[in-house]
Amino acid sequence: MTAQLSVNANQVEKDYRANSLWRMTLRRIGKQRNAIIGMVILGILLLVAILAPVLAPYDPIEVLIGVEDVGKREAPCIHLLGCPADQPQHIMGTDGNVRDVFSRVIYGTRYSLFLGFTAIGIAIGVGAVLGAISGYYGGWLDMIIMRILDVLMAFPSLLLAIAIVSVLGPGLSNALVAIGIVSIPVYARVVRASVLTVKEQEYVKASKALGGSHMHILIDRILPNSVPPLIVRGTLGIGTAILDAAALSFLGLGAQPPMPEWGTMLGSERNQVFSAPHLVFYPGIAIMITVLAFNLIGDGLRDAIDPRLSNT
Amino acid sequence: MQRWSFLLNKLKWAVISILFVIVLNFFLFRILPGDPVRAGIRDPRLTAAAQEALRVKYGLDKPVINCFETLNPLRTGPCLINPLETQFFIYAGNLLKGELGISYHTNRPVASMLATYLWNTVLLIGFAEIFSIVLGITAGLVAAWKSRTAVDFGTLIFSLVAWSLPTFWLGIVLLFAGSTWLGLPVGGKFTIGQFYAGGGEKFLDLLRHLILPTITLTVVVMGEYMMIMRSTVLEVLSEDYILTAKAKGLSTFQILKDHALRNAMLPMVTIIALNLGFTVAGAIQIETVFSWPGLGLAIFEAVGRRDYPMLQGAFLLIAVSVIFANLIADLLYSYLDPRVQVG
Repeated sequence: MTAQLSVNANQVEKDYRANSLWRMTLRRIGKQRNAIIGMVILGILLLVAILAPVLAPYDPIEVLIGVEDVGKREAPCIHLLGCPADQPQHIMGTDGNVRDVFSRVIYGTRYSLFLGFTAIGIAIGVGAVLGAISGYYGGWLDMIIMRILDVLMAFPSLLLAIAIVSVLGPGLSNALVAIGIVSIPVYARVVRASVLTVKEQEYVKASKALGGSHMHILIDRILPNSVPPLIVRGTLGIGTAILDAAALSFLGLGAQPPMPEWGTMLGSERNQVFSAPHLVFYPGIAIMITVLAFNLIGDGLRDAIDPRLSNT
Repeated sequence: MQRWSFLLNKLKWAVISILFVIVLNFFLFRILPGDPVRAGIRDPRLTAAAQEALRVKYGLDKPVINCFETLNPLRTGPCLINPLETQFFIYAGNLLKGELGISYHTNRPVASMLATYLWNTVLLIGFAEIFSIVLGITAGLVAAWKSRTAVDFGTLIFSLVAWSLPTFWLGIVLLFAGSTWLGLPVGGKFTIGQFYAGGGEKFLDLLRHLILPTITLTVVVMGEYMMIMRSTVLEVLSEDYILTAKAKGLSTFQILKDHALRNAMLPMVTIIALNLGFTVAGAIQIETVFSWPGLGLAIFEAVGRRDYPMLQGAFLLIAVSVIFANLIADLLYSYLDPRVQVG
């Protein structure tokens, strides 16, 4: 009897590790079909972005006049689907400047992913600092910071981005900065909220009593708590950022031609929708798939990280 | 008593937010590089005297605010001047009188221009909101009730895809489909050059022009409503009082209508009010695609023409509307759920 009751320290250690918060979360993510599908799509998109020079049959900004026997805005020609073999193959046709649309769509993956990750990276960086200061120190500093962020939130994000770009001037990097600024309030609020909930916890007080500096307490004791909600919000935020960036480019305020950015491609050919619908169709589908991947992951992560929701 | 102090507090913050917005809005467009007169009018034939006259007309000859002549290039000026002689306080004073300045492009007062644009946007957003609220709530309710069936799955897929669609792209696709196969107009508010026998005919033409933009905005907005409604109803359905209702022998319809819908509407009301900003952003894209003469198209055109008074006015109008929508959401929520005021 006593042998059975004796506690095997190794076993406890193992159980503890197997049931750590991160392991449990990972296991729950594994059960989220949405998140898995989203991650597979995102994985493929990342591969496409990295391997763009290998996958794309043409240079995305090369004008094919004189290079090949194709005209502008020609319909897709796929050899497998019965397009004559003596004609050059353009899976998604050519655009108004006689460029291969397929190659442009492939290279567009790079711009959208880069824009989404960078803009939200900036927003999380600035937002986390503001939110942490606001929540940790409180008082008038908190009030001023949060009031300003509330005002930023009163503007629809796309509208504020339009305002900022019209101040900075159109262009890819300015659109990126604008979308980053617009997204700051969300992350500042997330961090502030989680700082407020753990600020008064025993272990934080203990850390203070042990003489920990403000920086140490904030970074090592408090901020790790805001990582899970930041990941969820960030993933969903990237989707929105990509949509907003595409909308800015569509309106002529983001990436400028001849950059193979999906929104720009749509914007420059939008009036040709009746004569060459393929020019509008493919970039839009590409945007949708990319945003859908992030939304699926974000949705699944939210359910996996917040156990309260997974019971329903 | 508690309710009043809660409301007053909310109102106080709304007013402070609006003041912040006015300041931000004013200085944002003053940081712009270059001379608005030269940039906005872009006519090289204009003599120096004529340019100066325009500057006086738009009030640009005065310093921006005490100590600063212009913000970009940053040029400091005298600090000890009458603040009421500076651009900022003249702007603020005009705002109190309901004047938003004069458009650089049309030379007409911004306020009266915005009024016509606003009405068109309200029409578009109003129709789309009504449809998406009704459809979104119904679909969300049914999906939650039929949870884990094909209906639920379909609703989920639809809302996720709708959420991921670029609004402007959906607009173009529907424009193509609607005008090719259904013969719907491609844009604008009325058919150009059309003679109307009566008001009814004109109204029908307006409705025909509204169909495609409204469908686009509805699809984009309703996805979120469906998803939130579904998850809220799922939560409500797991409550004990739903079990009680079932045990009492109430019909499915009664349970959904009197118990599930009522309790799930609470978060929905706030979401709908808070969503106004998102809806406006969608409207900007849709109006550009369909040339619908609303605020969004006006903003898009003003950006291209560098018509800053117009942009300033439109942004102020939208920000104030969103702040009021948030205020209304707070008030409605406190009315529907009395616990909120205590917290």
